[in-house]
Amino acid sequence: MKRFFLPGPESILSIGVLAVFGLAILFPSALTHSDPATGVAKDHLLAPDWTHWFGTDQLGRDVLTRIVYGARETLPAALLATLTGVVFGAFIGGLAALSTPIVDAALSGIIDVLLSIPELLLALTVVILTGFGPVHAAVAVGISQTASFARIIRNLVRSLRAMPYIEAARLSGTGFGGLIWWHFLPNAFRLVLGLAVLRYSMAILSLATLGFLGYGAPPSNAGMGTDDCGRPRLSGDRLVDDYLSRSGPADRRVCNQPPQPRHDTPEGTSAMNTQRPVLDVSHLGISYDGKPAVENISFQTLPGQTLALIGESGSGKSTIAKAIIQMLPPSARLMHGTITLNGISLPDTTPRGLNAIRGRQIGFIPQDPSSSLDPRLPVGRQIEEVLRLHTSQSRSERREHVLHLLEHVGFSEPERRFSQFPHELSGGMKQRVLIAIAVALAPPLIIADEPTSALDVTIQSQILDLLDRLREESGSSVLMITHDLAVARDRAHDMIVLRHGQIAEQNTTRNLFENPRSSYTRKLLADSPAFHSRSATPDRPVSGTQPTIQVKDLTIAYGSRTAVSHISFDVQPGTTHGIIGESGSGKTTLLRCLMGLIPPQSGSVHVHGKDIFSETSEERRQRLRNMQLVYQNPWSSLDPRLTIRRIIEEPLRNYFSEGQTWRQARLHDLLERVHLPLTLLERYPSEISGGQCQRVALARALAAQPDILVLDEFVSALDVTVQARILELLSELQKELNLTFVFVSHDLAVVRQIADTLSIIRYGKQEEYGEAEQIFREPASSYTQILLQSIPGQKHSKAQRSVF
Amino acid sequence: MSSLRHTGIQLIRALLILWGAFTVTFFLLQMMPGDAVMVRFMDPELGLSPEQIEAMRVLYSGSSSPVFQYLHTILRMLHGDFGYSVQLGVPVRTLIVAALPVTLRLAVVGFILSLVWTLLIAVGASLLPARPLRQAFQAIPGFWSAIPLYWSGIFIIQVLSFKLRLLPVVGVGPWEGVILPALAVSLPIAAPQAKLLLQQIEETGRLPFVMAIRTKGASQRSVFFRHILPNSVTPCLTMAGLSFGELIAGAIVTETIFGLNGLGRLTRDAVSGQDVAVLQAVVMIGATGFVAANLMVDLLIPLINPSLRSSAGWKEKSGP
Repeated sequence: MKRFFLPGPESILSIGVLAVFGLAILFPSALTHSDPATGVAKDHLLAPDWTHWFGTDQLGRDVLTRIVYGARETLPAALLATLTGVVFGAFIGGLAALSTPIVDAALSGIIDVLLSIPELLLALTVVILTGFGPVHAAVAVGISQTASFARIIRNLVRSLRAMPYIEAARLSGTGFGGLIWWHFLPNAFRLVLGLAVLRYSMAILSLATLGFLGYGAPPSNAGMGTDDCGRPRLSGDRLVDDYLSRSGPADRRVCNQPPQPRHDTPEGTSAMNTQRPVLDVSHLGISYDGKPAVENISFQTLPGQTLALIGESGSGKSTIAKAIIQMLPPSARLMHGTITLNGISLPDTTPRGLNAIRGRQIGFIPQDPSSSLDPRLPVGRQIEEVLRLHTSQSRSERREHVLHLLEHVGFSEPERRFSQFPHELSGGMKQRVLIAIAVALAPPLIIADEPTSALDVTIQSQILDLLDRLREESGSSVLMITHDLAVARDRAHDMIVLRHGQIAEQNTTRNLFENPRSSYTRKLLADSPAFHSRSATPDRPVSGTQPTIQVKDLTIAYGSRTAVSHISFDVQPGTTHGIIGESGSGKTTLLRCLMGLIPPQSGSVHVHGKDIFSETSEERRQRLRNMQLVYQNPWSSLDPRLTIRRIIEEPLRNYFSEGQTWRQARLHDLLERVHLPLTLLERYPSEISGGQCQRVALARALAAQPDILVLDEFVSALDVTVQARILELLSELQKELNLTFVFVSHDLAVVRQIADTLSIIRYGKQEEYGEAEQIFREPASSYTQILLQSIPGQKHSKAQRSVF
Repeated sequence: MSSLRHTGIQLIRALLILWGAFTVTFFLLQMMPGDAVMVRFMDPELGLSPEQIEAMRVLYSGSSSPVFQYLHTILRMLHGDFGYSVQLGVPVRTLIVAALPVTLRLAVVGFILSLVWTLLIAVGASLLPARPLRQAFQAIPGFWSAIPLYWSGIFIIQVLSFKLRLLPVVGVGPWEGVILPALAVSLPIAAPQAKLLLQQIEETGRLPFVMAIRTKGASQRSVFFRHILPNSVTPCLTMAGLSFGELIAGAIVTETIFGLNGLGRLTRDAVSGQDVAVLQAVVMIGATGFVAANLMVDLLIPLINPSLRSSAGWKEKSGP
């Protein structure tokens, strides 16, 4: 039952309370011996005592007894009401969400109409229609709740339908019934259950209200509303919140890379600095809930210089950044060490003092520009805020200052930009705004936390150039947190390589690349695609035979907008075609059309010589089996409620009729192919790492025995060392199984590793098409040239002077 | 221009919903088992002959075909004529005109009070210095929503009026008389609103931009009032709009307890007397209140949240 229910301590407590209620309802005589309907006249209106725990009413009836017997009537009736609401609501909502837009619109309209009639009135009307009585009242309350259930369930199912794992299951050959049973129901179950529990308690109140108004149980019965005595609602509230919050985003994952003890200690560094350091971190150690996250970190930053902190996920680089700006989460504890900014010890500063330092002494450039600005305020006001907090400038002075800053970070129309909202700006522009905020008061220290990881490569180099220019002008010291060795090589004077919370190597940039001292740095350098051209594989024929995929003059439109226009390419069997494009280039649209998921406006796609847009449904099924799509996000493309075994078995069940023993053997064979241990089979996607998830996704794709894999940004979310292993696995599989790959990515360095032929697209147009190495060596289009120049890691190291 | 078009679409949508609500209730009420006319005039004590009853039935337009009646009723309603109350024999319009102000006063005061509670709870639960105090404020919505309206109403009368003698319940002016019932009605309305607002505040607080603003040097309080709260109110506003609609028609319990002669009392009497014309009118007033409140919220939200300015759409009836 694990896929449905995981009890925590709070739910156990709630279940306990519910159990007491349940027992009281089932066995009322265990609690009380009195008769709910008859009282002893002389005992009327007694105060609570040992015989009558809750006292007695006007007629001398025991109140506790009446509550217990009232609950006996009302609680099952409320259950009936909620069940009625859930069943009808789920049916209508599910139907609306899963059928055609017209049916959806019609049903949504009906739902809106029903919502507009007040629930109590609707319930009353239904009661009048069906007649009075407890069952009728319960059904009436249920029907009056149906519309709001239907609305919520419709939205829930629609959001589930958009999850990549649902599409992945569909492309694995799972039919409509299978989708409902294996994917929609388990994933919707918790939320609907939580909702139902919440609605259950509301149904009790509604029934009691109906009873109070005289339309529920006949007055002789002891329904809950007929006593002038409110009962505390079931303590299911926490339980529901618990469900809702825990089953909310279904792709919360843990990366389980256990920290391993390191044996080589960082080499001593020879300080030859003449300048006073801006930031001085010494022997820093921080733990989360008692577990050390970073240990023994010491470094200094110098004015006008950039120090890069490099590490993969879980290396502790963000923890260090947060510790410096003193914004660690409450579970974090400073174990030892000091952090000093221009002589001030930051951990010893009061909250008020820190507010004066943040923004004024330390500028912070956050990781993800798209979510780091208040969506509700014009960007000019957001830059102004830092001036308002730290200066005594007047309103007009501040405005002048902001306009100047906007111009300084490269905006051509500062007046217009000032009043624009974040959603009106591109990612690169938002990052410029955030940089303007960070540099507004020329702080001595600027912390840049993965400042360009979310940006396209051409934008990335512009932003980094801007940051370099501002640093040189203001003489600020920059601490750059990054996972990207190539970016660090171009921009940093000194580097610190972190691994599992410890310093693996601390060196000048030049030395680190020419003479890496630690074995981990050497591994990182070897695995970074930016520093290599194609991994040595013999050139395969790129023309001559019948191509596996032929795309001719393909144009795809979304409404009136042309997303992709006139794209043509061939992919030969056993080769890899790379499609490179920045965000908004139309590469995802192209890929979905290639799979036959969206129709083109003109042009054609032939797979194995057959036009995929004039195929029969059986041909389509066969083609989709031969042509598997593998998704970008390792976590959202695997159903969180299924075990790894179930996930890989799905296509085996759908496409092959062989029995359980054959499936078992095939499963083991597939796991071996993607180098996963058998012990993973019974785990859930949330319990394995990102790299392992991608291996599972590959195994699922290979289970259908395809000869084409279409890979969408397949390694983009992975750490560089994991990325390198997955790319190796892809080459290995291609050779062994003679697979044809279409590999879509924004990352030129990665594509260069794997592609034989290449298409470069921009704004939906094919800028270049041809043999990969040829394009990398002699790019013909000016856009390709810019793209290639923007790849980080090509500039000369900046190290002139250094602390180390 | 597009915002004008958006407004137009929303208006048409609202009218369609009203029409739908009318149609649904009309046919539901047509299906009533007992004939309301019969219920009233078949009473042997009145001693009417079958011919006389038939004449009454024609008078209350009960004999023509349902489709004709449907069109007839819709046309009448568009002219502000809601027909006659079978029970009381007076125009429904007269009844409504007398009852509506009472309920509107109750709804408006209760609504404003509920907004005040919601804000107080949100501020207390987020900014009070001691953790136990914040937790106590966080627990209020769950506690309030567990108390049924008829219980809190009676409790309020008992304590505030009878025991403490702060405010009398009977023999007071229209506005004073509405304070206690509005207080009673504001609690269950505020509870889900406050709960949703607390949830939203927590979610907004986790968004990256909040941390980004803290790195500018803004204090916790300033971030709360300038950024977190304004970014959290949108869903609450939607819910508030819905509850205002509910308040107009859902005053039944409150008016019964406090002895107010508003729409709620009218509804109650109409239900027990199966007075179709009155019920139809009350449902239409409730639906109009709901639709109008929603329309207002829909037009208000883009003003508060600029990123929603381009997207249209009826907002979800979220939560309880």
